[in-house]
Amino acid sequence: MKKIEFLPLLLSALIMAVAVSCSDPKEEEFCQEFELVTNPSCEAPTVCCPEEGNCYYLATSTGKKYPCDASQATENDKNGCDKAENDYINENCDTTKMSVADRKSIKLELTAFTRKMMVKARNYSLCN
Amino acid sequence: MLNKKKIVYIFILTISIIIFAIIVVKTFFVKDKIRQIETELSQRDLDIVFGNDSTLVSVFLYANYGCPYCCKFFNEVYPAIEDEYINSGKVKIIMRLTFNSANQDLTTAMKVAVCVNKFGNYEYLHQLFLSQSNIVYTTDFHDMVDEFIDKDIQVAECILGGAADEYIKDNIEEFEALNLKGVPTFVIESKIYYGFKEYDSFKKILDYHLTH
Repeated sequence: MKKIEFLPLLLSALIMAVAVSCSDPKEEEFCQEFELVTNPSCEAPTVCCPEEGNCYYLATSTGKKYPCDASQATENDKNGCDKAENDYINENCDTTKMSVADRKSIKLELTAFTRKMMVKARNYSLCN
Repeated sequence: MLNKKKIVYIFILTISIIIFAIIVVKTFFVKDKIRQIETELSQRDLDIVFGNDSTLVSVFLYANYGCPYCCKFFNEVYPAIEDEYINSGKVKIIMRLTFNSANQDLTTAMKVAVCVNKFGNYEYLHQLFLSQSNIVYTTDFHDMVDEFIDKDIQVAECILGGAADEYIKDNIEEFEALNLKGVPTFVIESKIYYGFKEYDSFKKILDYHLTH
């Protein structure tokens, strides 16, 4: 077969290569995406679901149950739910993800520049 | 009857024509799919604004300081935009803090940001958040917030009185209502631009809006 018969294919390949190489990259990839499913009650899982005399807190995102233990009830914790509530918060709430030790390590890791900015922010952020 | 050579040739030619047609259609007839919103956004009282009030183009930026590409935008792209567009009064950037966390430290820090911006000088806090967003979890930062509340009644009322809470809640609700994907997202006039953009790309966008 004559080589010229491949010319249209080569031409198309060339145009396609140019078109693809000149197109902008997908900049959406740079986007820091997040799901906007907020859990405002996270810090206080007040809805305790009844179950066979006891009740449990339910993490809706994972489906995990945190059952109360009536046998551990005290005067201040009449349903024995303190442990379940604490476990729920520890595993599901952002505020507890950073421990006191973590906070201290961040404090130690602050750069000199950040410290300088901190002083400036403290001194110059208010008008009076 | 067609011989084998002709069949191969017709096949190659047909494929070539199809590919060529697809390229032509894609290149010249399919417009960029930039999403548009139905109504233009307007500036709110607690917005953090970089630039003058009387500008030709308002860029609404949904961002937070925990987002690396938001910080990259402010560190690498914003200075050039400031030189060419903001200082000359052509453009202002209206930052709407948007984050997805029930974290109390973070929420407080964002409230401090909008309130200090409204009633004080936000420049240094902005630089502090850019340099180290995790600063909001430190006791030093908590002490500074307490000091702000003690020293400035307007800042205190803004932080503790619910105005900042309401503003941040509105930002998140607006973000959801516009069905935006994440941060940073820029809304200019009614067009939505997702993600971090290098200065050259951003310049093209700004020039387009300034000339149309």
